[in-house]
Amino acid sequence: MCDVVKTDALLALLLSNRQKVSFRELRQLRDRVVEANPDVVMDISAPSVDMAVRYYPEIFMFQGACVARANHAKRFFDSEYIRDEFLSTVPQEVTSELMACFQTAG
Amino acid sequence: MDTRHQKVFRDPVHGYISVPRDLCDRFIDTAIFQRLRNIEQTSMRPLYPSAHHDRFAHSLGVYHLANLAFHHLKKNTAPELLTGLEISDYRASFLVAALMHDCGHAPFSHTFEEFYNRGNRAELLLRELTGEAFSADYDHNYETERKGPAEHEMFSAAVFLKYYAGVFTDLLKTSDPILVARMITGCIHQGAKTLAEEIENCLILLLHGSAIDVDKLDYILRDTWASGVNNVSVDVHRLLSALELVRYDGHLVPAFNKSALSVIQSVVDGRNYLFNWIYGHHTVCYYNELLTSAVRKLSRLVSPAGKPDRLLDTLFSSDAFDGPVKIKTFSAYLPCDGDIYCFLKHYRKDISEVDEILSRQPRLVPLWKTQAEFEHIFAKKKEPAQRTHIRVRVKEILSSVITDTTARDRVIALSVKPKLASIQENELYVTLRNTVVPFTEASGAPAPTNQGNISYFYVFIPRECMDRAEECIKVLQAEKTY
Repeated sequence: MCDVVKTDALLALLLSNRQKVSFRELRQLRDRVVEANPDVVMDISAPSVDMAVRYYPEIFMFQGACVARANHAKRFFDSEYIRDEFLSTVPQEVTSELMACFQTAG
Repeated sequence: MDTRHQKVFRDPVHGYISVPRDLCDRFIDTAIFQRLRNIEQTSMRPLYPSAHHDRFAHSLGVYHLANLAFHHLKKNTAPELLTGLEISDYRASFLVAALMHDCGHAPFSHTFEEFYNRGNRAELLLRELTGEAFSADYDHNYETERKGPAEHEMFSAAVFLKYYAGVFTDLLKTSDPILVARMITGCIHQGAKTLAEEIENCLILLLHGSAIDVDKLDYILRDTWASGVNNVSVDVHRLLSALELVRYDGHLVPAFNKSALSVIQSVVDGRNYLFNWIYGHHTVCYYNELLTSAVRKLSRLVSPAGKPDRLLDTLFSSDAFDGPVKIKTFSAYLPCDGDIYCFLKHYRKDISEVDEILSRQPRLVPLWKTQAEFEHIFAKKKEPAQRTHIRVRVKEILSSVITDTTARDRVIALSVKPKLASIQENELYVTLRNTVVPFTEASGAPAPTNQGNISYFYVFIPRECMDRAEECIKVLQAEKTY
């Protein structure tokens, strides 16, 4: 069965080791992930990204054409919160695969 | 297009809706469009028994409002703003886009939204059918302006172009079907270079705007009517009769004159009412979860080994629009909600959720039923991390109260994320004393601020444990989160 990675989980995972990600990069990463594993389904549409930022203003914020860590988000990224809130339903192997794709992308 | 011959539909929300016979023959009376009669508009039927309105009626409603909007726009706009162009030339494209904006909707509408564009297929199809200019604007809108369609809109635009572009061009020789795709997906021309592109952008925003558009207006009115709730009244005629095109900061934009100010606020309030009290209702959330789980199990059961998503893939692609697609002993053709129920009934014994869906006898019950109760219960745990800690460990925390492991394994926590609207600066304009100003300035209300985390969750426990509900709430309240 394919694994659906929600937009907020994808952003949290991406921003766990970088400060921001541009919309252009989001699309490139999505393409890379789909190529590496067609069983991963993700939604990076603009309305979904917008809703993720609106739901989690303490974690994400817009910075021009990028989604960035919110100003005081470090405490969330340094705690169990990110794993609990976003990644508890994503299988570990999918998380690792996504991280590998993100790292390849630099 | 011959507009002398009209077909009249009686609609409970808008009254009589007249559609030119030419549009009926070429668009409405086709199998893909008629399929929308069997796709429910929302997932709120478990809550409101009469709410079985469908995407077909909604599409007609959006068409009707688009017609009304265009009529007033043409009447109210100063002619000198449109010198050299005949705005009526855009009417047919705008009406077709309104009518067809949901033509690709799959069974259960948004429940499996992610599957519309699985593997990027809807976007690739759309790019293939539209060409370079569209793709360039589409990319620019996304990468620079953070704007773009939801995945079902992308899919609907692709379905329109794939199956209806030919009849569209045949009927409206001088109109471009790609403009219809732009309207469905909200793909505005970047840096509009001509008056024609500016007008097109205004019409795109009237169907696919971020603040108010004819699609939102219809679903607010229709979902309110179908459910029977006492939502705020939205005087759509007053609103649309105030519509005009104006120049603001050098750009042509749609605006409302001051007589619509109160209605604009009603639209925002009406939409938020639906999200707060209906779409986020515990019963709606619970049955949506049941359905999601049941359909995913069904997909595993009917799909070939090694391709467990074959069913979902078929339902959310255009393959099943071309002809029947065989899936095990069934075939899917122009799939709608009823087909899925038929599959689910067939596999009733293998999918535990099916009996519950069919009988509407929930096996789980919520510990609290509103966001207000949730906030009251967790008043001392305001931090998102504290609340998340409880949500993801709910079974473990309840182990002291629900000691039977089978019962405890059935406990679920469901997140609710209300999609609340507010009008941001430069999203909507009004004219006051011959001056165009942003609505945020004219309304006198404070600018919308970041509301903080507005999500919450429900916890559902087995019905047979309901006598321990208060104990469950107490242990959740008392849980040490850090």
